[in-house]
Amino acid sequence: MIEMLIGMLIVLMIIGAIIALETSDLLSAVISIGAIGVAASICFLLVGAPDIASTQLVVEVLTIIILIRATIRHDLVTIDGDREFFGLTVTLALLFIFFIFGLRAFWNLPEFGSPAISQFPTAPSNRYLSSGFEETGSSNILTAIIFDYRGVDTFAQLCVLFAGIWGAFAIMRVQSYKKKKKDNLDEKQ
Amino acid sequence: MKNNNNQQGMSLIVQNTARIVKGLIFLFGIYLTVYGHTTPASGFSGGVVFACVFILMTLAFGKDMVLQILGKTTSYILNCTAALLFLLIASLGILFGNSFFDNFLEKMYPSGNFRILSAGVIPIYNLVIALNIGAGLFMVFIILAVRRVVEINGKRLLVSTEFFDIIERKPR
Repeated sequence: MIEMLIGMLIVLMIIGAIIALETSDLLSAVISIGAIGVAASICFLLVGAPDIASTQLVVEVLTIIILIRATIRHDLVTIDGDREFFGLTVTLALLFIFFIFGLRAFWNLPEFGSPAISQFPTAPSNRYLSSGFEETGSSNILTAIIFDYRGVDTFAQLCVLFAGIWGAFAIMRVQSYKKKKKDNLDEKQ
Repeated sequence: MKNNNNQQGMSLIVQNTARIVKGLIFLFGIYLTVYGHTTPASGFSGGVVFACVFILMTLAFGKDMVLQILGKTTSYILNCTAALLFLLIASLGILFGNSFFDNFLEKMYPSGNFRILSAGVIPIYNLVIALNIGAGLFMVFIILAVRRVVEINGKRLLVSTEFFDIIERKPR
């Protein structure tokens, strides 16, 4: 039942992606991207990951607001033109090769619902699951893994986000620091 | 918005709804952050909800009111402070525990329960992450959506979006 629902949602996501690519209206494209995000959130909820589902939903709302507010204006610039034959052929060939390898990898996966780590008794994930609550005291095992066992990973993620925000801040500023200093000097003279 | 020049933001219905709803959304963000170690949530989603509250207020009431509460300077002071606090708490693990990112509070006061005050330093990490993400995403929104770099008479100016629309429509 769950697998069928997830399959239907994946078909919906693919349709949404095709609409977002093919439509000439920017607002419709943004809204279909939002539909893809909501469907992905419901997929996470069905698989049993409410943590990721809530984060995905909230981030999706924020992304849509920023996209609508930042890109949609009164004069829309739409791109229309024919596709190049060579580029399309290369893309389709690469997609076909990727699909064949992906299918091969998909058949090697364990069955739906049986965790892959049960095949490897020495994997660290087994320790997280068996003694995570006693060692960290956190009943949400995901938070325990994120902030305790793999804290350095979270710290690197934080650094990436920090650098991204400050990069955007540095690019979008108006006046450079040197120019400001020069103006101040001119005023003093 | 266009008819009433004295008042920024959206219509009266949207403003009243936002006035009622903003406190509830903020409370939900606090819940997600504080209970991050016992229920399925984390500081990241709580921080995004905090940013969403301020974005809702920006869209409903206009940018001037929100920039008075949480300006650009306050946002980046909060962002940097939270990032440094994260590093500081992680480094305290070397001092009191054994290694970097050691959960030293849990080893001092073991708590295998489901209460708020459990799990050692993990709730503090959640709070710090929520502050960092909330302030940072609101900064991104200010940069990308509210203000915009425009060339007017050869000078590059940072102006608000409403002003940008007026300037752009003039040549028609």
